[in-house]
Amino acid sequence: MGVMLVGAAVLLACLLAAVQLFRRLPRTTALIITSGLVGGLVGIPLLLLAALGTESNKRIDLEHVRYEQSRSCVKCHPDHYRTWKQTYHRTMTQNPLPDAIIGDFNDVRVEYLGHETRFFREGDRFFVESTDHEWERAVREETGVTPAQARRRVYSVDRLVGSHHQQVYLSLLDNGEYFILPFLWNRRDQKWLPMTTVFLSLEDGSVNLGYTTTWNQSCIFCHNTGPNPGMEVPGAGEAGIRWDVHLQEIGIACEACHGPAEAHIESNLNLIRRQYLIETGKRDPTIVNAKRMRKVNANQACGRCHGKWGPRPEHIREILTRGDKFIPGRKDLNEIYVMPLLGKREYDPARDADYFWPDGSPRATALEYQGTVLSPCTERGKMTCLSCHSMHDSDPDDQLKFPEDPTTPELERNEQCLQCHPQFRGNDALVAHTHHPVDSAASDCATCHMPFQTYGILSAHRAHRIQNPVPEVSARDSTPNGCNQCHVDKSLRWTADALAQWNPDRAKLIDHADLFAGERTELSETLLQLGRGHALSRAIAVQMLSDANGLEAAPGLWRVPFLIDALDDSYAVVRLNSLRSIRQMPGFENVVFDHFGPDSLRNQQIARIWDRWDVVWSEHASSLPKTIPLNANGRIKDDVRRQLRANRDNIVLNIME
Amino acid sequence: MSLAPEEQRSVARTHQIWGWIGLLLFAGFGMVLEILNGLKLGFYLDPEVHLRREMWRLGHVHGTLLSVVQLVFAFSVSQGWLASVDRTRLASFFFRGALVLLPGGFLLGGVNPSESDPWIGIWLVPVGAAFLLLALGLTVLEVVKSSE
Repeated sequence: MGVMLVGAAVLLACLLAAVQLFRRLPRTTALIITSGLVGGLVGIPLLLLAALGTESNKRIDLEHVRYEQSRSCVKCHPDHYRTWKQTYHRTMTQNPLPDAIIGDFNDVRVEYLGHETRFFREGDRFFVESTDHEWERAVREETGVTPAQARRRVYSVDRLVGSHHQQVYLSLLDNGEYFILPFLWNRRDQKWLPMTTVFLSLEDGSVNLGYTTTWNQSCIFCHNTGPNPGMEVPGAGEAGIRWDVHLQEIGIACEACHGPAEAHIESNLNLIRRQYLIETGKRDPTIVNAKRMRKVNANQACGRCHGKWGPRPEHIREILTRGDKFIPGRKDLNEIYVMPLLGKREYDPARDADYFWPDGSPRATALEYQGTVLSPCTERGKMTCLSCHSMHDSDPDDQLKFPEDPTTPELERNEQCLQCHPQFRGNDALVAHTHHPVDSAASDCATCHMPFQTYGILSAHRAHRIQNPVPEVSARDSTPNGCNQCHVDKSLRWTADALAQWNPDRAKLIDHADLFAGERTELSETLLQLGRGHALSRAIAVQMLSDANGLEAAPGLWRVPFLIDALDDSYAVVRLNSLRSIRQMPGFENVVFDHFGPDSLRNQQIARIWDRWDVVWSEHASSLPKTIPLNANGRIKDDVRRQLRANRDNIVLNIME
Repeated sequence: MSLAPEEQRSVARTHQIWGWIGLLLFAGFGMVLEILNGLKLGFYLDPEVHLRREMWRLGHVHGTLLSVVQLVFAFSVSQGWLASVDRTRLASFFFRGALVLLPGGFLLGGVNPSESDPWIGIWLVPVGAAFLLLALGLTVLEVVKSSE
């Protein structure tokens, strides 16, 4: 409509001008000027428009198009550039400039396993002095143990990974490998943490990370744009792989999601084309736009990285030597990559335990894609990642389209769900659905339908598999459910009974005698998992005990002794998260505990924390429900503790997220 | 054909009216922009509508300046610097057309801009610019001829 009106106005102006020209000037002069006017203002745009018609829908093969980098996008997309710039995607990988460094390099020294690591700077350059990793690896390969006396080496910090929760530091070695330095800086705790203690895995006695992978062959792909590791396999008589890393742009930039932009920029220099696409709303085939893709492709645009896809064996060499050519929407990921997805296949703990619950739900971060595609909202509905998240115009913390507004009882975060489930909009509808007060945590859809089931980056995170709380699944697989993450003092049997009361049809499906017998009736499900669950269950449990929702639904200091007990866990992340939770408790804010210090030191510190607890308990002792197994002295009942530990799931987990 | 005194006065008066009304409108629009700024209204100041801000400022500036151009043209005509009836009338038409189309195009361009481009109403700007160039060219021709 606008095109027609403006076009008519232009034609009218030209017509009036022509009339005046022919009226006032000699015919030849009038003709020349009129031709110039009409030709320039009407003819050329029409010609360009006609030419556009033949190419505007032509599909471009983006695989051979050049990357241009994000600064080329800002001229036409200043808003998208601005909103992208404030995200943590942009700073996923950075050069080591002073403004980008978040760690403390003021000559800090940290000791771990008897080895000291020093962090310092000289001017605008940053360094880490630590154990020589190559020497350490050689000794361990030969002797099987970490040497007591370390050989020292000064590493320059040449690249940074991350900036939101933590920052990892890389040093460029002679062969082109970006070596992962042995400590990362954690924002929340404001301290240096050994890399071998930040994953949900057992420490193996070494200062440096294991050598099964390097940044060049793993992290590079999802943390950058147009990554090419440039692996050079040694020829005959040569030793060692060399790397010639090239990135189209450092960090996750525009073209990581939108594809290479050269063709898009060139074709849109034509302003007629731009106006045509804007006015008609047609798709621009020269660039990728996940919002306009089918559900499958739209999810793969994010899922390539948030889904731990790995190349099929026949493509590994090509990807390592010539780079990752994936462009969202142009190929199905399955053509080149393999996605870890349990789906309907039989659960094999040996293969799947690190990343999946027995029902197929992911249990590590960077598997959000798998959770999403398993959700009924995606399987039976239209949900994609972009239904809830937006790279542009969202809070950088979680990039939700509709951010949480804590001042409203009906949390704005629910808009993510209410856009498709409007029947739950409004306080009355919400209360009728949740059976909870409108101002409780249960009014947040995510509390029940996206419980904390996954782990990564030193924290439990909400599941992306949207589901109903099913205590039977928790009973069978020990998968955390939303109810018991607020009601941390309640048993699973209690949860099942409550749900059956709200929905009598469910009661027929539940065999209480079988599924919810024994501990599932007698003990708090959270404490049960903390006692006998595997490391992941324990890590989630310690976090839930200090979560605001849990503190509101089940207040009290009764949780402290269970958290103190978890300080001697064999997994460093469980110890750290227990410490974090203890420090949330009144009177325990300043407890001292070095979660990666030597055993002797840790034991001393734990003893002091127990002493503190004994004092607090003597002042605040209270009667507790039976599901919380504390004795009169405020200590965990011996028989319960012994039984839980004896039945603990000691499966070795190695979640490298 | 030379411009008769009555015609001279008529053309000058026309452009005085157009000029003063134009100044009133476009200078007044400038005040409106100040008020939008003062009230910090999002539909004018939000980063997403930077092109609206830019286009409306351009419309205000071009409209105000072109209104002054009308008055200058009126003065030039009243001083007898333009002698030919036809070229004076033509220049008059194009000056008035430019006053409508050039700032009008900018104002329309800011009505519903996209992130990268003004609204399609911006296409009136090159038309207005062509009119202005023609008007100026004709005026230069007349002034040079009348000084010979």
